[in-house]
Amino acid sequence: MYWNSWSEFIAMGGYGVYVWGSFIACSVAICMEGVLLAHARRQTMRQIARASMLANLARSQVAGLQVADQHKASQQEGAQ
Amino acid sequence: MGVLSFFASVLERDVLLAWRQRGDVLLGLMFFMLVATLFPLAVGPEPNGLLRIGPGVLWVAALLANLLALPRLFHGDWIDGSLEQLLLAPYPPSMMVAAKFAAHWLVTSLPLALAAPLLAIQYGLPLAQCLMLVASLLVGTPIITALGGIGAALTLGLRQGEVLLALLVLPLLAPVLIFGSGAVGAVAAGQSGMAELSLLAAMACTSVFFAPWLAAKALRLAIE
Amino acid sequence: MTMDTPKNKVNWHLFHYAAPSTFYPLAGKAIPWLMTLAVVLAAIGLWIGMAVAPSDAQQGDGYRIIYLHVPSSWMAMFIYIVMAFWSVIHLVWKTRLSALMAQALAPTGAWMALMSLVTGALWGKPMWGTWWVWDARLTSMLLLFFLYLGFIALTRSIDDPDRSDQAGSLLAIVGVFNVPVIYFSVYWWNTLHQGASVSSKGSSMAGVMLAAMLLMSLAAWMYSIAMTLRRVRVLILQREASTRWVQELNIL
Repeated sequence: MYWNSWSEFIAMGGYGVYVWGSFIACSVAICMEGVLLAHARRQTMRQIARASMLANLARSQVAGLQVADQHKASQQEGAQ
Repeated sequence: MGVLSFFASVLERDVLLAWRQRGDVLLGLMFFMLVATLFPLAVGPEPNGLLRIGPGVLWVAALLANLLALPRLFHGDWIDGSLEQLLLAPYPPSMMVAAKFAAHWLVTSLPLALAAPLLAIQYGLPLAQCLMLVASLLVGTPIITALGGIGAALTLGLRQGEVLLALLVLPLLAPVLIFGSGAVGAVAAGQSGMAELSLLAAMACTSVFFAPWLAAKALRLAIE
Repeated sequence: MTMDTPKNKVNWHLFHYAAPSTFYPLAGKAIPWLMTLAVVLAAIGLWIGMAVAPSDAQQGDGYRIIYLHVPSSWMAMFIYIVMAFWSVIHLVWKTRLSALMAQALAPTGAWMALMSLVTGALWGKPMWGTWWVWDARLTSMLLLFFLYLGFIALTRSIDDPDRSDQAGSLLAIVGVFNVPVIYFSVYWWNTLHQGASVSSKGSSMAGVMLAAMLLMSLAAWMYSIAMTLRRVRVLILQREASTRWVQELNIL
């Protein structure tokens, strides 16, 4: 262990501003990269979810219409 | 028709088209002169200062004037569909691109290089430096056309294509600027400047050799 | 129709992992491990570098920025080469995934270049007395940063995926041949105008410092791979949004 006290460690022999400044800058950059990436991922997920929901909806509506048609057809048969 | 006469006919056609639209070339020259005129207004008219910044300023101005003309390289042919025809012709597309590069260099870069001494005199550069400026422009501008041509093909038809082209090409052209203005600077410092000039020539040979092929590949993408 | 010759089998194995639907879950499994590795390596490296290593004879404790500056500079340069490698693969074999890898690498490379520039400026202030010196390494790193931005801008402004992939690949290849030329020319320009003395950092490094720096570089490496895989997963989802396997992922 090179340092004797916390305050010495923080001061970095007078270079504290620059050393810790670059640590802060790098942390900010890493956080920004992560946040931007997470944002892009969320947005993509949302688009895919919306698209698949619409596709499901369309499919179920088509299915529903088919069921209704069959029902109607059988009713007409019964009436005849 | 042999490959060489194909090359010649594309070259002739492009030069002829440019001759019909002489105004475009004059616009580039005017831009070059205007930029060169702005610097003394901004930094002051002291002869010593102008002498010192002259080579660099003139090289930057020439670089920008060349850059400004680059989007024209393929745009007109792309719009009227003749680019597609040329790519479909039974000749290597890189030959066609090389011919277009040569024509572009002849109608834009050559006039700029020849007009440069006029501006160099305004900056008070002595004759030796003027000659080296012309020589370095003659050797260096083919690199701008070659690398810029790849950029022009990549950005063909894109939104904001011109700005994008500048962003893509300018970092790649840093060495040209360094050696080009360095050659004139070397003459100013009493050296021959031949080392810089031969480095420029080596770069010009390499880029002129490979760029048409790459630009042709990029053009295919833009057409499809 | 399905002739299972040995050659076909080999091809299938090679390209099996190149299929986005196979690669997506595989990358997802690798990311937590890589991130953990990056954090552990960085923790050990920083402990050695910041707490154990002594201060430098000439630069005092200001030299400790090296543990951030050198790894990010190395990664910024290395990532561009990897990008060009994937671009060549893409142009030769037309594999979609390799173009996506190149596009996923670029933003991480740009961030690394930015970190290198900022830490370089913060190092330059106490050592050279100014925030920015037109030093050969800083200047060529700035140009490399612009090259990354150009690549990102080009691939993002082309809507057609095929053209975007191939145009980006071409640009990365042109760029990678230019990077040494740029570095050489800037170095030459710098020695002409200033003399090389400012950029010499003392060749002899104590073993402890070197160990810490290597550990930090490994951490940066793992971090970059993890971030690239995360980004390539998003790109895969965007490209394959309409395919069945993506719809069946049960995202929400």
